[in-house]
Amino acid sequence: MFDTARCVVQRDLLLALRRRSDVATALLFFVIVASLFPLGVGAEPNLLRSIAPGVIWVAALLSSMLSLGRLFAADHADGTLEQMLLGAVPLGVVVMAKGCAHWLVSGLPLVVIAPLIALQYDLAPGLYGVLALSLLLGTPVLSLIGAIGAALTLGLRGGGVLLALLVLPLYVPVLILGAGSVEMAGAGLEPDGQLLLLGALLVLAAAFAPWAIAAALRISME
Amino acid sequence: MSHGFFIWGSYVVTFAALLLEVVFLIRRTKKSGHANQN
Amino acid sequence: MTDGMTEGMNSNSTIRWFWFASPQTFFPLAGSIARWCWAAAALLALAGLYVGLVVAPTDAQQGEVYRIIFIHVPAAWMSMFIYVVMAGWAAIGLAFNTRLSFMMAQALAPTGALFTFIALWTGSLWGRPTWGTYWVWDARLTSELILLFLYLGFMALHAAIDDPRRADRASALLAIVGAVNVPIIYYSVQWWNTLHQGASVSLTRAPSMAATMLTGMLLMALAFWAYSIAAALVRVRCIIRERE
Repeated sequence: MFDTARCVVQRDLLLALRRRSDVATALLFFVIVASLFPLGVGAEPNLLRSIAPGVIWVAALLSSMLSLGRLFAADHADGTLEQMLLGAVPLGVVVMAKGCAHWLVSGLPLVVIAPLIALQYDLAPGLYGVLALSLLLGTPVLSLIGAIGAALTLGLRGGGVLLALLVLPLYVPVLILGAGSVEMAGAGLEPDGQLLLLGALLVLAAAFAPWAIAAALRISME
Repeated sequence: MSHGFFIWGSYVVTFAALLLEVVFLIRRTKKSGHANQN
Repeated sequence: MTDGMTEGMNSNSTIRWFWFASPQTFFPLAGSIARWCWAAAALLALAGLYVGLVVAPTDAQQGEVYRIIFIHVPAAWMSMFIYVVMAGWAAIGLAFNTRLSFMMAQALAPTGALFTFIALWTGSLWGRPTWGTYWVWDARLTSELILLFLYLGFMALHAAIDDPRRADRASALLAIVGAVNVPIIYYSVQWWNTLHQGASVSLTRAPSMAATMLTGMLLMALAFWAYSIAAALVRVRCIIRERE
């Protein structure tokens, strides 16, 4: 079972490597969105410093949503997904593996790029760690919850926008906790509470989302 | 403190919205009643 | 023929229970229940409005404007209650594979969304004279806004799928995922609210409410409840006709 999981992860990573531009586009979107806000609200340093955690987190949300369309689309198109449904390995395991690969390629880079954006916003250096940690805990949750939406909207017309409508309300707690943790740290308070809650969300999502994703895939593929 | 505008606005819009829903339901009933001759 | 599953012929009550799972059998029952509920809704609403607008005393701080509470709070209660019931029907539909359950979920959604809108509208109009702005980012209004998005997402997903069976089941799963998330969303928004505004800028009345105010709210809540049942049953009858 773990061999299959490893295989799926390796395969997805290889496929992502071959379609580098798809991956890069979502990450570039992250950077562009974050760069738009100062253009919109003005470059006053105090203002930027205060909105930085929220802006970076919202940009991460949007970028994560953009990349979700890719999660099942390719496998659905060439029939691999059907094989996965019929296979001996529990669909939940396969789905977890795909989710992991997706996060490695679309979520983890956000964690790495975020400090650069924080630099643009002149975020206090001590907050970089909290920002990165909150994203590290939060982006997998985004991937898992988003995967449910991706599975439900598989192959639908207007899929991308519909996916956004379905998934963004569910993202709200992650956003609040993630941005909130950085803001707490910025105010001199301990962000432990928020980070622990983010961790709890991650555990919950890891436990229940694969089941929901598998159920959604079965519904979409009947 | 004549905030009558806000009170009226709330109550009127609420009941208008509920009435609108009922109207739509009546129309939908008529439409499905004629389409399906069961 | 009945669509519901009769699990062996083990007991009469099981058969009777699933007897109404057939859309055809449920159709007339829905009609009669709906008629009673329309009447109940009208009476309860009249009683509630009487208590709320005539009997309840003027508030010391807010004057007459607080009377919006008799719509705002019951509507908010209904919006959340209907979502839970909707998710319940969705779960029953997925578990027992009964068409009617999915239809009930579909029938409840528009009414639930409407009450969410009413809660938002009245909350906004209440916020203007009391807090100075038409939109107050307090915990309840913000949660209601997200709840509205959840309702709209449910309806949008169902509308986007052509195959009725897939549409029913997909939106059902979404409703359940949403229902699981609603408490998490509510508490995170509450926490967010205290973080950003310190003292609670809440539209909730203080716990020490005059008894008449509570009575008025309860009567209106019951009125809305009866209305919702009636509207949902009429809608489900339309859905049955449209699909069968």
